[in-house]
Amino acid sequence: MEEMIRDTAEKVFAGPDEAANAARIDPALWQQANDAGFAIALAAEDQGGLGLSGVEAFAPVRVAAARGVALPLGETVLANWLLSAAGLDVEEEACGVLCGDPAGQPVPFGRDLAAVVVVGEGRLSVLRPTAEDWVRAENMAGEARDSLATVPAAETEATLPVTQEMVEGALAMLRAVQCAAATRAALEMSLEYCNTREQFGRSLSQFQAIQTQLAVMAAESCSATMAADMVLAAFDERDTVPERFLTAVAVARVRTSEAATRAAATAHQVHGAIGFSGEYALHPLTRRMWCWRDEAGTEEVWAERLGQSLLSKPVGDFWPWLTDQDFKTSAEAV
Amino acid sequence: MNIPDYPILRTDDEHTGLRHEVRSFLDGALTNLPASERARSWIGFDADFSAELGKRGWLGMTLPKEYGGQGRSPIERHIVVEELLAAGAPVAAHWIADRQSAPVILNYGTEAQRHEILPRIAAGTCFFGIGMSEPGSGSDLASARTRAEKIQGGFLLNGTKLWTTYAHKADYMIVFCRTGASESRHGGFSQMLVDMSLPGIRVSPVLDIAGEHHFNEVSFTDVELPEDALLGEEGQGWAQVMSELAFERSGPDRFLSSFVLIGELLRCLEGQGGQIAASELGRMTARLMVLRQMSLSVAGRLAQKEDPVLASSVIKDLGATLEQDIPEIARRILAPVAQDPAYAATFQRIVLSAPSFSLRGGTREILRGIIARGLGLR
Repeated sequence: MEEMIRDTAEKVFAGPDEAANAARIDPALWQQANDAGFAIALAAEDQGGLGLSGVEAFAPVRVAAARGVALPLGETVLANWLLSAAGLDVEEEACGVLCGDPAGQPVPFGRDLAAVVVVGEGRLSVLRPTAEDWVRAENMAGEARDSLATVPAAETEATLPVTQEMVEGALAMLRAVQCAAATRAALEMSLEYCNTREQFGRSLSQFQAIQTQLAVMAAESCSATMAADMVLAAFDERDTVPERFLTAVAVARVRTSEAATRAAATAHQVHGAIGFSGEYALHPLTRRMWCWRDEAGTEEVWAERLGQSLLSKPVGDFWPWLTDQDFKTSAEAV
Repeated sequence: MNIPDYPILRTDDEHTGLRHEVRSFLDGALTNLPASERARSWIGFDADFSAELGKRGWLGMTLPKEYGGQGRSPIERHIVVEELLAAGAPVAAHWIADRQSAPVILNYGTEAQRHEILPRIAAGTCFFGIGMSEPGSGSDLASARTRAEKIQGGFLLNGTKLWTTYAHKADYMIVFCRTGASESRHGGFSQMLVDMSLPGIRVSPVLDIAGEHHFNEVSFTDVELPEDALLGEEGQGWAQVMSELAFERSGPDRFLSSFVLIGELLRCLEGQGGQIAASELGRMTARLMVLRQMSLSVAGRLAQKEDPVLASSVIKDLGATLEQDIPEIARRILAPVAQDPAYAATFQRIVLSAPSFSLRGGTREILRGIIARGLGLR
């Protein structure tokens, strides 16, 4: 199933459109993604969703991230998951999710959203801001990160169906998954480039100094992908083992941010000046990697949170705790 | 382009049961072993302990029952090995035999060799040395000069092997040597199963930077080997030794070597730690947790009869770096000098072992070359 979804996503997200404005949602592309059911993949079936697992629902998000596509797809997947879990109808158009006080918080593609799902104090509220409510801003990748200057009254309210911690974790998971996917794509692009680009009469890939850098980058990428796989699998068992999901979020945020930082540096180094040019396809990846690693909590924030939780455990419990995090065959996916 | 993938391995209740059984045995067996001794990791030698593991069925786990093994899966072996290493059990006596010699004998040995040796390895009573490196031949294994010359009724072995861990306690060594001329750089090599009690073998200690004796230099002077010392096919030594190295590179011994120091660090912190301690612990734990899942994934693929050489090499590279970073991370959290003697002794042991972590089993540079080739570079 996951593979089928990935194949579909690879057709929909062919690649970054050179002419596209990263700050705005491309309505035609959104329509295609929506027609494929990506935005409602995680939402419950009885509320109009597809009821897929996290692993499956985030497969298109990973493809979009690997292709440098500017869409709030993952945010909408999570918004519809929350809406459906709260017994509300899913949204057709792109949405955002915010935790806590919505005023002033950056919202991906805010100006183009149909709705913002706000989570806080055990409540879930649906806001429908108008163009005048938004203060426009863009991040390093040129994507809109608008914020609400005025917070409109909630259109709908419901009891929050999950803990706020879980929602914060899911938003952090989204960024981790995107970082890992873009890291992998930057690796593939670098391998391809080094195998074809010739200097001193041979391909860059034949230089040991380059091989070493790419080997290290590949190892980082493998580690990031594993961390992303782990957090998605843990998300799917969030109801039975909620603690493990939050741990996996921290692990994934730390590992994918570190990997993205190193991978972006190596990718640019091996590409030379060409990779630094505005017309080369590396920067739609690296600029997003630099943004995503900082959103939903930097790796420093998550590392400290994970470390504090370790320090609070009884001495001697570290190894048993580590092995308790393993995935079991008997576990039921949500 | 070939980037390895690591499907998540799911373990079952039986696996958990085995893990807890091993853990509870180790809790009792290692009670009196101080952390600084447990920090020797797989360099700690205790023949009685190895024999006890053999009795419990925790050695030769993946060997078929007809050869005295347990006929269990690589996943179960991985679990036992992880528990042993995390606890800092003294596993050196059986380590090489169980990890790499037994699979080589199983894959390439004759029925007679299998029946004679494998049951003893599984019992934890037969110890092996690795006969690869030489004084003039380290990473460049193909430059090995040890030679086995065909003579009436067998071979005449001459040459010198170096860095042979516990050769002074080994019953056998699998010696990688030249047996013929070859046009190709990797041709003309064979592996010999050498009984270490044969005349003409001299084992001399080589002390490491901490003054410890585990390495040796082993010289062979006109050692007469019987015909059946040949392991596998004559001339196929290179392919065989590469597969032996794959076993040496794939296990959790490639990221748990410094694990005992983490336990000591947490003991000294007693739950107290500021922002730096929490942040450093969090980053380190994230690396360790991901590596564990990658390693479990490889165990799962071994169980599917795959041979994930590239996937294993990536783990070894990441793992050796983590093992070497752990004492440095510990230094950022706790000043080693101010701590109690038990912590200081453990810390010192790990610092003085750490350089070897990215040398043994193939240097970091060789590993990265293997990864690069696997990725489709060159």
